[in-house]
Amino acid sequence: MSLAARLREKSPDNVLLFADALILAEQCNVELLKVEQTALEHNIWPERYLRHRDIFSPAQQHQLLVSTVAIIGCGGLGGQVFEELIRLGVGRIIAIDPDCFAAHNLNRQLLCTVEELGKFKVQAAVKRARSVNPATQVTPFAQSFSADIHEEVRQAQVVIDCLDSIADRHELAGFCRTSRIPLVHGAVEKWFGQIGVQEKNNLIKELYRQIPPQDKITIPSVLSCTVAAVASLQVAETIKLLLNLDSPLRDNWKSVDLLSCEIEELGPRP
Amino acid sequence: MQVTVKLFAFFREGRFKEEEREYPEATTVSDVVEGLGIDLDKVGITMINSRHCKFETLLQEGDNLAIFPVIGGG
Repeated sequence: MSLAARLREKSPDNVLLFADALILAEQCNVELLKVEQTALEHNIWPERYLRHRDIFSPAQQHQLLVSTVAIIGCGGLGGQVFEELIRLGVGRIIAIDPDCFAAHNLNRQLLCTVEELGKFKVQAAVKRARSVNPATQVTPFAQSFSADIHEEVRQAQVVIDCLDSIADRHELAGFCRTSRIPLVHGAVEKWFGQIGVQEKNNLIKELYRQIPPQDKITIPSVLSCTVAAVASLQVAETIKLLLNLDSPLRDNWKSVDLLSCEIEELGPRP
Repeated sequence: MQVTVKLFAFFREGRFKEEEREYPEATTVSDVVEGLGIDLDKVGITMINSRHCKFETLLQEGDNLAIFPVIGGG
């Protein structure tokens, strides 16, 4: 019996229970992601995405499941973005970060737990996906974003900037422009942040006029609520890019202020 | 001349959110920034009347100047 026929048999009400999805993957010897993709192709909702039903069409949820997104930096913003993307159902995530967790990450980095201290951030991401959404295919790179992985990152439909270095941001933005991949930018400090989408413009160059010299670089203090708010805005923009939905943030940016509860009005268009 | 200066994010700490301020003719954006005790290296985007401007841009009577800090953390 084909996978589609088995899916119809298991899902009389057009809902595929999570347990049945796991069983079908094993019985048909296919990946769980393939089972869920095939279900959506037949207008059957995998149970885990049932609460998306009034937001996305089956075709849109399917689009997320066949998408690849690259997260550059898996610390504060990156960890939160990763969590939200796996729950959304983005099929493949390329996770890049050279660092291991330290205790000073515990205040705001979702993937950082006491047991992960000293371990690579991208390995914690792999582990988290396995426990939250085992259908997600995570490709981890425990290294900086550099030329040797450009080809891999070019497979992404969207790149998300969760970096903490202005020099690295300039390099990533240049790569995305050359490769014509939209870049969803986010940055945080204290109660404040910014979010933007670079498609055709030079957003990052506008936001960061110059690369600061090494001796001028300071390590910012950041709150977990700022990280979660800005990362969530980045994920919202990512969904819109993947599903080709309009957004006022395309080639634009906004300033986010959690202290004054303000998201600055549009206008600063480079 | 009168210029409305709007500060954003942590530039507001110990300063103000928005203020009408008096400046002499031929004042530049960097004059205003430095006059507020802000290090030019910490400044991200500056805008006059919602349009991007440079540090050396001259201000005019009635301008609205917005000053955003560089925010770099991830």
